[in-house]
Amino acid sequence: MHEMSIALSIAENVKEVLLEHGDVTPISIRIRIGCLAGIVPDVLRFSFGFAATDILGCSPGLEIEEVLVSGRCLDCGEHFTFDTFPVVCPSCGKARIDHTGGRDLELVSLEVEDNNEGDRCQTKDPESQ
Amino acid sequence: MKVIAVRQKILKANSQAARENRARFSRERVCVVNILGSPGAGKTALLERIAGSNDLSMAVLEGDPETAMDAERMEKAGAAVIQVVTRGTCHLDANMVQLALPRLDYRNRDFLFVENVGNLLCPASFDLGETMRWVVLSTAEGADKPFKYPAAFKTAKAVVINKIDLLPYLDFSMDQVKDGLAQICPKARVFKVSCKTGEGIDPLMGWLRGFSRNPAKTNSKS
Repeated sequence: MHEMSIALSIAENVKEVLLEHGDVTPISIRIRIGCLAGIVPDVLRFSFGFAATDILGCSPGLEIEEVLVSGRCLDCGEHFTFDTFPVVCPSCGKARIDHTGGRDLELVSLEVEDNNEGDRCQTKDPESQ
Repeated sequence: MKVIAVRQKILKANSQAARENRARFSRERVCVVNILGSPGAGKTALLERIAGSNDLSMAVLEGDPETAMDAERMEKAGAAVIQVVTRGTCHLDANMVQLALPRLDYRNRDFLFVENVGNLLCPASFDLGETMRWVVLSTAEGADKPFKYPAAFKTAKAVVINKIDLLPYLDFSMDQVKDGLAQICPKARVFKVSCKTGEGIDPLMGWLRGFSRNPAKTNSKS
């Protein structure tokens, strides 16, 4: 539901990075989204198309790496990953699980093309809006 | 073609505003509670109960997609209040809180309650700079909610199960909700209350007083 807010934040972050590498065109954006972050990847991709067009003036691809939750069984010590609750230990079947991570919302990297080799993606001047 | 490594938080602008809010609240010695819950869970009713106890000084920031109805209720209950209307946005963010603070008389009060937009999903992603989060879950919503909305419950310092007066009429399983909370947020304090009848409010108030920055009020009613 808040995918549009996240999409706008991604585009703002990308715009900031692009300003430091002024002569490049973004082709694709790589992000990491935890599976407990409450984000639906397809909805985020859809929203990002609008956010990027508005903020960056172009629409680079969005590669989404989903991050699982890390679990540790408090009964048998087994380490494992999972993506949804309720969870039981895959080794002993008990439900006392210590868990970390899975709420990631991270911009990982941008794949860019040198301006000389492709169309320049002009970022909008915020003052002109 | 080249790759620019970035590795930064997508919500870093929100995190920055949240850090500023947190520093400010700490300087001003006010305990800030960010309250999450579904629409109709009883977030406002809980705040009315807390305000009605009359032994805590509190201010309330009401977040709603539309209307000032909740602010009007809190005003009647005697709290200093400001309504933030998000115009359809599904959550409050740290910047919205920051912008609203100058218009709210919250300084020199023990607590600032931020009633987030009714939604168990989106508000969980946005740190407001609060001291702690609570989740209000009503029995009518069903006992499966901790498993379905782990992000909201995972960060909760307290879970308030409201509308226990309705238990005889519902299939709400206390065991199922206990299992969910034990797995998602084993350290959260759990309070079972009815904001309608007042049942269970006293233990919550007793616990809450421990967070008052004004030691004189901590044991004012024991």
